[in-house]
Amino acid sequence: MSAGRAIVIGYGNPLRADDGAAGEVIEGLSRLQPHAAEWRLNMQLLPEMADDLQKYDRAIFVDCSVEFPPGIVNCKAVERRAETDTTFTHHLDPATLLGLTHTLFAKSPEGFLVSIGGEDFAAREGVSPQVKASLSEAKQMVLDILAKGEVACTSTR
Amino acid sequence: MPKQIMIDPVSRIEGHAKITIELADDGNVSDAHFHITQFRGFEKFCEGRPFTEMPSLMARICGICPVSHLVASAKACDAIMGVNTPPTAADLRRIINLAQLVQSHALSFFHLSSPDLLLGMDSDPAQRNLFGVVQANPKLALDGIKLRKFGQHIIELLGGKRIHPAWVVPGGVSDPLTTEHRDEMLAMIPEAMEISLRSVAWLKSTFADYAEEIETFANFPSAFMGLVSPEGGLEHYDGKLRIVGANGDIIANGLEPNDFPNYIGETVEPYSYLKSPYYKPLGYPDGIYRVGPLARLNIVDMVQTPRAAAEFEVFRGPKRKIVLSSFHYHHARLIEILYAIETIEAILRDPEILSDRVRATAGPNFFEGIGVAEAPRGTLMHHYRIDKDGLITWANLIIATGHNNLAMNKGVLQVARRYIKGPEIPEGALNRVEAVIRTFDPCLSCSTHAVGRMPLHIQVVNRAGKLLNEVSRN
Repeated sequence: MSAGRAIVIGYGNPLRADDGAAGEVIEGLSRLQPHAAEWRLNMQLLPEMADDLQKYDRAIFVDCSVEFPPGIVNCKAVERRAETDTTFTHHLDPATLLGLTHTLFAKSPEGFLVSIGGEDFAAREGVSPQVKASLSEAKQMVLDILAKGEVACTSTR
Repeated sequence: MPKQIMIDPVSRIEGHAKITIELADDGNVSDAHFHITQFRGFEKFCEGRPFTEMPSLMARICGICPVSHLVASAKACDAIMGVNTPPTAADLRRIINLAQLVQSHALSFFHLSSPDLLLGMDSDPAQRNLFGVVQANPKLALDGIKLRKFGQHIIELLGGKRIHPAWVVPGGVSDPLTTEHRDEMLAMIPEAMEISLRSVAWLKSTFADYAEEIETFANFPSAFMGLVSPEGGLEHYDGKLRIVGANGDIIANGLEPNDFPNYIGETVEPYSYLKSPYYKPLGYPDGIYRVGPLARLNIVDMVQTPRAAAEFEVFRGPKRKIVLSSFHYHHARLIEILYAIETIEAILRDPEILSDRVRATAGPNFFEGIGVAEAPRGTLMHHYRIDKDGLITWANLIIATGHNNLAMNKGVLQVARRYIKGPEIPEGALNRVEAVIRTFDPCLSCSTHAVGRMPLHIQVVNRAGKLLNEVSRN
């Protein structure tokens, strides 16, 4: 199933080593396939993004995560969250953002999260070797979701 | 009965802080303090860097108001170079500065303070946040999101990205404005204006519900400081500094911003990493003053744009009364958003805004430079010294929030005394103590730069609160 209109949002701090992994993915793919989606990169997810998300059929979020071993690429479908237990707008997750979008606009895109396992979050630029080695896989995951809308969960490595 | 109440962390502000409230034996509030618990050190670690790096370095102080630091820093570098920026560059800097003001004020009002105003100061804390506003009044929440996006998108169109744009540089800006981007910005104006007018009307409709808060939220006589235009109107980029007293008398006028070290002093209190500026001729702490939207509307004689001017008439009234209650920072903030949108439109409609003459170039010609501009939260001052190679040898930053440090502490004490009577301490009372801080919209990450001879006051108390030992330094 094609993506319809799709937006890909990478987020993370490029000055905190592996947290900049999403930036590498977005910058690479936006150069490679500029018209495949709307490509966005930001330090964090913000409530204002709801106004952008409501215009799209599919949203893919890309981040670096400590939930997975370094270099492992995982993706999952994201269900919008109807309510939130967070009062902290400095930390917004994709499910809450999609829920916010739906509450405000009575619609929200189909959501996916591509996470790259990271381990080094020191104050420096550049991702660690293990994360660097997984960037191609992460990029391919994003392209697969754009093309097919299917979920391939966990890396084969 | 507790002897000390601590609110840690203070919620719905930018940065990290705590509030301590001391109770006397009768349960009434004897003292209160606002503690900034962050330490940054920008003034120190920029030493040795080329002065041309300073705008980019200083922008990293903050993710909410990086443009303010870009502008003030670039102006300080302009002074070191000894250049006048081309008029179009000055106007482009004005636009990005005002766009940031819009998005920052929108964040403060809609995301941080509207939960209190819409849901009530005593409402369920679990709901008293942006998401509670979304549930209770989605239209209000959406207005805030769109207004914030308006400001952020202008910053992105001009600077290439929303946070830490690099486009403001010593001497001007790095690239001229394209026709396409100019037209895109103009197309956004009508919706932003409509939202702003709707928002100010909504805020005024809440005043009747908050009469007591208006009376007690940092409502005390103080001076007010800010930049004014040559005709005595609002000014956020250039102009001269003016200080007005609580009764409306002008204490000082036409102050050269570059001379600020001669009339603004700083001190450090032991309970906070936030420095405390004061007006030197009046000494410390009598030289307390407030800055920011409330101050800016108190010091001006008029507002130059029609819709903002109409609201200014309501704000100050026909007798131009000085507004002392910090609760009305909210109203002032929304009036400034109106002014910013109108001014951005006026500048964009001038054909000269598309000129490609946007940067003056030179090497360092002076060993010292000062740059002053109005940030969303108040007057921002950057002061640098360099060596013969153009490397920074010394830097001092006086941040908008720092100017308000003494006033915020006074406000916390005033509200605590009014709403905390002991032994029962309702949650709404503690929220009001936080809410008075929110009226100032402090940016604490920006404002903490005290380093060096740091005063320390340490008290060791036992479980019962009895003082066991006490040590002071500096």
